[in-house]
Amino acid sequence: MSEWGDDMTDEGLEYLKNDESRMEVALRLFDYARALLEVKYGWERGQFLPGGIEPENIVFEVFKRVAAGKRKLNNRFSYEVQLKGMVRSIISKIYKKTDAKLETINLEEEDPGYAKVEEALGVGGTDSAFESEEYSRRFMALAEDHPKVKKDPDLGLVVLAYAVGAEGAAEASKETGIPVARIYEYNRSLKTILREVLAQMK
Amino acid sequence: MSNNHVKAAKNLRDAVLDNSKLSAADLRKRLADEGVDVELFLKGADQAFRKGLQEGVRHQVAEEKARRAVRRGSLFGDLEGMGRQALLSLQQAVAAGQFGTPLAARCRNKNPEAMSDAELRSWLEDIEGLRGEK
Repeated sequence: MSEWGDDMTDEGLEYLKNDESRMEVALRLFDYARALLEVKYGWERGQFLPGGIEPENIVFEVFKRVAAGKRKLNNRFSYEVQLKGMVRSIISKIYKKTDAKLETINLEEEDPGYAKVEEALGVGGTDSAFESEEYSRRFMALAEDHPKVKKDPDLGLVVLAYAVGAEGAAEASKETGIPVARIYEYNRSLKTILREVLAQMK
Repeated sequence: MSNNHVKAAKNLRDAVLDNSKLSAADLRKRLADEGVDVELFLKGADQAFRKGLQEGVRHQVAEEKARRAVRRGSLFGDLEGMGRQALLSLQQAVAAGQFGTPLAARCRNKNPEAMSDAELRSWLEDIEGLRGEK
């Protein structure tokens, strides 16, 4: 697997012109977009997004912007983080304008103040309802008490590792001693679990 | 469990989204397992990327056209109102370097006598538009 992205600026566009690189980026962003939609917005597979948009359109929009030069990449942050930040930004705007179509939403990129990048890095910005302590307390309680988590002590460990700050599968693996491949499998279960938790929160 | 529930919930949510260590093959399989037509998706992504590239090129051309329009007439004056003799004199002045070396360089291998008035005007407009470019 290539380590895409830690030193790309304008070269980012050249990188994406490579068929193999572009394919990998597309897959990664699409997987990320779907997971984000599930976990944060309660989207279910097969559903349209507000305005009749399909999840793949998010990735297509990101590609179009970068290719057209509307969005420049900054070498202060990893390429992956910036592109995922764009995905988050577009999804957030779609859910704020539920009556619009993708083509008509004002999806102009923010000027490069990198607020979205900061948000993706978890170092800045706001995060809507998740900001609420009470909401988050209940969210965590429901996640920890979910039958699948209760039933599998290893999954409970993974939830705990994430909750205390493990940033992704590799770190969770280190914290728990569970192989990273297994952690990714748990992540798949967790996406469904968190979507269910989200539904319970409504 | 962390007492900071906001942070814990955010951590949990973000961590589940992490796919940075998955290979392209892993991602492809995962999406296919979830019912995605991966080939169709990748075809769409390619099309979107190419559409963006075309849009970018169109945008650059339009910008350049606008820049040239602004520059038109700023150096040589109203070319439309010039007769053949004036156009030839202007060409000679450019070739002699009166408007700078870069523009004079543009006169190499040009035979103005063999050009029509329209061709001369068009060519002078072009090099006037190039003024200021690197």
